[in-house]
Amino acid sequence: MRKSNTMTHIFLLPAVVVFLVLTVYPLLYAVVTSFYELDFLKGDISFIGLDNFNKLFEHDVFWISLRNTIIFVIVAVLMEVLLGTALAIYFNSGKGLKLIRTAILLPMLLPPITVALTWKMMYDYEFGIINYLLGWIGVAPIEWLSSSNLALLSIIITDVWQWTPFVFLIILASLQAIPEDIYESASVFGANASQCLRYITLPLLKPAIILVLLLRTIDTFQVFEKMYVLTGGGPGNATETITFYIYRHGFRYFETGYATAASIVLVLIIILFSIFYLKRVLKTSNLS
Amino acid sequence: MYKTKRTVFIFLILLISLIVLTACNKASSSSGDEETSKEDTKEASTEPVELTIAARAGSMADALTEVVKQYEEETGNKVNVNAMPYDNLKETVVLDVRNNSGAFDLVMIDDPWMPEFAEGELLTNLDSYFPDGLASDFVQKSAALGKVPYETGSTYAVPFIGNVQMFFYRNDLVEKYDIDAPQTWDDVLAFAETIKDEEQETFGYALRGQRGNPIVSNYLPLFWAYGGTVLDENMKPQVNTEAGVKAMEMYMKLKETGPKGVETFDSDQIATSLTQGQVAMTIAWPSWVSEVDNKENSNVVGKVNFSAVPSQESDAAAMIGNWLLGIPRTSQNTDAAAAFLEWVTSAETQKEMTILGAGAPTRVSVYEDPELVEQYRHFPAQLEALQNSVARPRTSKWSQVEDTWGMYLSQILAGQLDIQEGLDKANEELEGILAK
Repeated sequence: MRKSNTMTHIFLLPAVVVFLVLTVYPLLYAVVTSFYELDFLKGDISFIGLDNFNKLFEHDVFWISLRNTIIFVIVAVLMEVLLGTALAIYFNSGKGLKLIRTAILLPMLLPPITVALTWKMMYDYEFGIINYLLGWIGVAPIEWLSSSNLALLSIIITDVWQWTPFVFLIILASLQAIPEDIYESASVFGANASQCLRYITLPLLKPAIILVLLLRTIDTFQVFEKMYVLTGGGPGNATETITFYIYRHGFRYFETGYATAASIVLVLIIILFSIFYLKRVLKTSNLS
Repeated sequence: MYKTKRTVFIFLILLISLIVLTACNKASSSSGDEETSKEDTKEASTEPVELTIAARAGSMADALTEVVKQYEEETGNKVNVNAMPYDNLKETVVLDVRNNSGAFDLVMIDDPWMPEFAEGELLTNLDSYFPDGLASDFVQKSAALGKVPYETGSTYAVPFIGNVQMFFYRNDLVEKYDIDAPQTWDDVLAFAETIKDEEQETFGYALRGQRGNPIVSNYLPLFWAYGGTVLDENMKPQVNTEAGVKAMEMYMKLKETGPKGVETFDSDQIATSLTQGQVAMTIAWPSWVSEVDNKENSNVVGKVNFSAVPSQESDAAAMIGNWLLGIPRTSQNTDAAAAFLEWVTSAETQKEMTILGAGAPTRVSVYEDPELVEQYRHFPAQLEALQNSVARPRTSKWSQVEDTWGMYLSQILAGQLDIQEGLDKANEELEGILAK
């Protein structure tokens, strides 16, 4: 037993070293950097304690970007999970599953930058296909990207279009793992379709749903390309998100210390969300 | 026993991370010595060298890639052109020099970056390679951009692409309504309103309203025309003055004459609107002339004229936006890079690059070349615009000033803020940025 423990440690060592060097070290370095005023372009560096954080919390644009990010995450993730789950349940029973499954997955396989560029063309007020099609059914053209009220929603639609397939895929896989005989015995006892869904399918899907919620939340917090390409954070600051804020300060102005402080705040928020979900996951797995 | 092993294990990990940490520190602290040692090991120019250029992707990088083939044949040196988008270019160059990786021997620099790059000491002083200064054939306004301090100091970069804003207008419509070509912003507005009311398919004036660099570049000529100054002599921002307000009022009126959606317009949308015949007037860069006169994609071939940017209370003030070429101080082939720099900005090479579609030379003799003038009807107007151009303020904080100012301008344009309120807020924030 003792010997195998040593061996385990030895075999784990490379992975642990890689983890330390590539994840723990940069994270610690980032935490340290956030206490410095660091102008990367000039190479000036001086310790300023918590000043970066004070400045950050006093900057209205930071709060606006945080608000936009949270709206974006909540709306986009909920829509993705609802739509993806509904599609998966629907197509789980249907025929021609393979073909449809492949077709539904396509958006997910595209690079985000391609998705953003394509949607930018489709959203164009004058030449875009969306306003063109709306014109057919008599709807007046809509300023998808240039209206400050709609711009964020338009980007959410793009994100939902791209990532619903991911939810669909995971939920479908987990649906297909539910044994047929549970449904059979339920129907023997006289359960109808909606009862089966409510009392069998959804409870059994719960761990998968929480998992996709977690994965999509973490990923959506980091949305960047879509704002960058579709609106550049505008109009005004209607689509300024926290990653865009970090990007501008870090890579346009090279205020590395300040941008790092903002990143630390983002990491903390994501960790909080993750703990919330993980607790749910652990609770569910304990029950089962 | 198990516990001690764990302690040893943790200790080992800490030790490894400590080694990694110190190794990283060493790499960054040795940057100072490298510069001195490089002086002694200058490349002998007889051996073929490989030069790498960081270039802005687009027609100029394409032309550059073509033209270097000739250089490779003549000298036996190899030249790689590494083309990247605008934002990436700056990031890449800064990271390359600050990390001492020395991947690039020449870099393209947008002219407002110069003060920032100079302050960060990213570039090699070129005075020893051009002891008598740059040739007088270079447009003086362009040559001034590559000097630090501006106009008077040592040369750190050579003007490569001589972009300057120009006013594009539909001459066929000017003739149709029997008016004079617009000279002032009031003329522009009056003409734009006529077009909007009378024409079915065509709007008046197209703004480039996307937040940040696009809207600032687009609004600045109006701001200057109304007599505005971005920074006064004490480097204090002055964007909320009467000139700023008047210019923004005019900007909002012009917006009403244009197509919907200009709040997120960047150059590609402007180019589409113009070439599709959707707008009558806009401010644009000379490199788009070829798009306008391109028979395959344009509905307005030969119908668009190019002139100096309109004036108002002050004289016309077109914004200069040159691309410069400099040698990063971390280059390992400084001599060869300087030789290439001289070749690529020579009159002959510039002519060749112009024919290949790079758009905007930086030498007077190239603008006056009869063969080129015949092919590019806008060249005389472009040279005049260049010679009367105004540079953006020379501050190392320009990127941040532009981004912040552009955010408030965009908010005003989108109707989120009143003009005065938005400009006051912008000025206040710019004061904070410049005071740092």
